[in-house]
Amino acid sequence: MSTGIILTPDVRSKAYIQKILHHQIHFEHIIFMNDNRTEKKYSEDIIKLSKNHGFDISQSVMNTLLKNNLDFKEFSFVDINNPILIKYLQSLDTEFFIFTGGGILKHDILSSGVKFIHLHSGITPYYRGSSCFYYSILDANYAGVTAFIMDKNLDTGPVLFQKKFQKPNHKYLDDVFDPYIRAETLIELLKNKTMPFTESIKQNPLDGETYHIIHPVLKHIAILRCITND
Amino acid sequence: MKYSYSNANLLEFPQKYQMTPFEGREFLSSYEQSRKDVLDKIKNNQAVNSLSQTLELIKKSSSTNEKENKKIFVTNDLLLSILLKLESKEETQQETKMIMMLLKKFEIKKKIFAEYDYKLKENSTDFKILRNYILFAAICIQKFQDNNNLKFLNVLLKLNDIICSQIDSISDEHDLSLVYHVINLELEYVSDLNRKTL
Repeated sequence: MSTGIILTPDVRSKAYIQKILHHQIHFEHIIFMNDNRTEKKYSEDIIKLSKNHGFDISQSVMNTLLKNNLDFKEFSFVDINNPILIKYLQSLDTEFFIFTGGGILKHDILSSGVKFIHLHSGITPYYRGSSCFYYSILDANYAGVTAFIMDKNLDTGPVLFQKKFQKPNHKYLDDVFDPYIRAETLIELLKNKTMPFTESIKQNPLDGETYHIIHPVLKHIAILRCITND
Repeated sequence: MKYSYSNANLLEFPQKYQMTPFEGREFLSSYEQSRKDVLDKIKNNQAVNSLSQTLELIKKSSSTNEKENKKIFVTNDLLLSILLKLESKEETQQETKMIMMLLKKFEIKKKIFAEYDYKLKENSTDFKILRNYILFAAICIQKFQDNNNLKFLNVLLKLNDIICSQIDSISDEHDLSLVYHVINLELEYVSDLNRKTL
């Protein structure tokens, strides 16, 4: 039984792969779904802050993979439901893949025999869906992450591990705080939970709340709450 | 700084609100000013009735459109009936379920269509009836008052962005009265939430 990771060209994957390397965690298979999008440029402030949080946001996923001589399989699309990816996954003897992206898994990939672990930045079932760390900071001054095995619904799969974090004292929630809390939870999950993740807690999809993309007014209030009240 | 989320024609070109930038405290002032400008515009042109009077007048002026196909509903009728039930504290599980379904549908499409079936499949291509957006905003006001759940304030802000972007196309005085109340209450809730930050 082995574990793999599916990376995408974004800040979340940057934090995951860099922290994984730092903690010397080994994956049998690394898949990189790479649509060759243009790398976003970051200010010195964000780069410095990301480094303080254990990853360098200015380093692309590709850079990190190449610099560390990691074996990886690259696909030129970013779509977890792509049939080419499904066929490839079925050819591997890997039961679990950490999937950095989110969204809905369709029938074909769900029935491929592979299980996908996702790190969602919200404590389920109270915070499912989008922008959950903002809502959680507004409601209760904390953010949380849930590691779960993905199923056909949004953020409703069996829970492996949950971790809460105090709200940050900076304004870079999308670029630094969100990838940081997910990556930290991933490391804790991989270090403390033994394979094959037999201990999980089932969720009732009807419990809790599903949130949608946060309006900029609420987002501003949440960020101001982070940088105003320590 | 100008509040930019209610500038364009949001009915034709919906705002997705993805990865919006942080623009500092000044952004909240520009939002507040933009909403207040709309309130002034309404108040300068007509008398604004109380919320309960406004609802009563909208009820009186609305005629229910009976559909031959009972699997279809007219959105305006359903929203008004839900709003009146909420006002009189007679909301049942059926209404609660429908509100949640409508909220989800709106959050995905950013449009409210004139007719749906009860599984919320659109039965019309018309999404330009502004009264539907106004009535749904009033429903979200009621729900947020009842349970403080931020998902209602979130959708209210998005509905009011659309309504404000179309304010010059609203001519019905009862609709404008209701718009006045939903914007005023939204400002109050946002201010309350922001006060906890200071």
